[in-house]
Amino acid sequence: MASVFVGQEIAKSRKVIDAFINATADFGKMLGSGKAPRASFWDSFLKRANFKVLNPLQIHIQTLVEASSPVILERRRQEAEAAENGIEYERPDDILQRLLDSFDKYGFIDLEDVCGHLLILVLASVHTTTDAATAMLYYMAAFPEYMETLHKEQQDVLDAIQQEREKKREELKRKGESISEELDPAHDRDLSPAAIKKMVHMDSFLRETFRFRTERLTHVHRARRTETLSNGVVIPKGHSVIINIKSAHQSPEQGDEVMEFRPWRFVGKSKAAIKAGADFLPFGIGR
Amino acid sequence: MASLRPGESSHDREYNEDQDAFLQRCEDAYGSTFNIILLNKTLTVVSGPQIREVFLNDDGFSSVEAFEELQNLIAFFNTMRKSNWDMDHKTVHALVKDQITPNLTLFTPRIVEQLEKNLEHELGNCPAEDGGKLIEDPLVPLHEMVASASTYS
Repeated sequence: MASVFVGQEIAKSRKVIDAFINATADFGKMLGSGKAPRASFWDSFLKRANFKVLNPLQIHIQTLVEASSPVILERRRQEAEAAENGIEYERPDDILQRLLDSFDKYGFIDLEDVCGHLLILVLASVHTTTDAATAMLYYMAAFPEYMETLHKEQQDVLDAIQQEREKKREELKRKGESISEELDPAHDRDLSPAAIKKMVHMDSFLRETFRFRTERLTHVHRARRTETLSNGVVIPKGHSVIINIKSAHQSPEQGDEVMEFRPWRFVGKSKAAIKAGADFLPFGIGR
Repeated sequence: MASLRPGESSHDREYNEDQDAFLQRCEDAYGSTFNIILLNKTLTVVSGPQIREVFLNDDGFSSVEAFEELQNLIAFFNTMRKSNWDMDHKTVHALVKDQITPNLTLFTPRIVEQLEKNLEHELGNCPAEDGGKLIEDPLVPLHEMVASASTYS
């Protein structure tokens, strides 16, 4: 993640990697300190007071700022140099650069602010990715009988792509044209987005993992005004509702044996693991 | 309000013991919409077709406000950023939508390449014939793999 977020150069720093990892852990300490305390009142109060003043993530922001400042200055210098020589500057492809380029659009104040926003994005992505990957490994370990199918599918898809590329190369050779870098044999078995898209069993496995493991009651919402649901139930302003995920994920619409883990449930059903909807709510309903 | 088990002041224990059995009991007795007490709060459980009405009604229902009540995170986020102090994190959503989502195809190959390197570093070669390698807590190495991206290059 780090190289995508801040680029290779900054991500080389061990401090930055640790900041990415520890930020998630420090964020975890913060949870459970709201006004409806699950811990004791004082525990919750002190935590809240403490974190408002001494936000543990500040130190990670400082780390990011320190690591990125020299790199950003160097990038600026290169950009100015390129402009002077009339060459188009090749922008680094990372999220930090994108945020800096849209500095005014989002109304950022300074580099610390940008790094703060970056860290919020890190919080949102590192933990969720790790969590989903761990869950998938857990279900693979719990149901080893499905592993062979997954492995075979991956090999088949990669074999097919390799053959296709080989054909293209041969054709180019016959025509006497040079083989472009894109068709380099070294990349024949890359897990490209296109290849991953073809692995329908893996995608179904992932979707089933999410369907199966998502807590039955999640996604609390608070009424901002008094609302009446279509079944006539009135939710007064300030009252909270909680979503019954079971009614969607374990409904008969999901197919047979909804209480069981059936990893190939969605194979051939145009229901991708990233497609949220009323029948798939781990990330909300999506829009 | 769904009835409480004798001697208990909330549904937390019953829910955590068996989520499905608890929900089934409530649905049998009260239908698809009912009140329960969880996390020290009275909550209305919304099921089936009404779920959409809650999710898609931004003006009427707010997940951020509910989350704030439980977790008190806004102050926390606001000490991290100097601009865009916005309760609904609109800027963060916009950042994801404008800057990350459209570039996923660009980022994926780089992430895969790096993950392969990190996997090699974390696991190395451990054939099943030799007994493989036992990782008791996969969360730790996975966290490392996901967060880092070029430390071992």
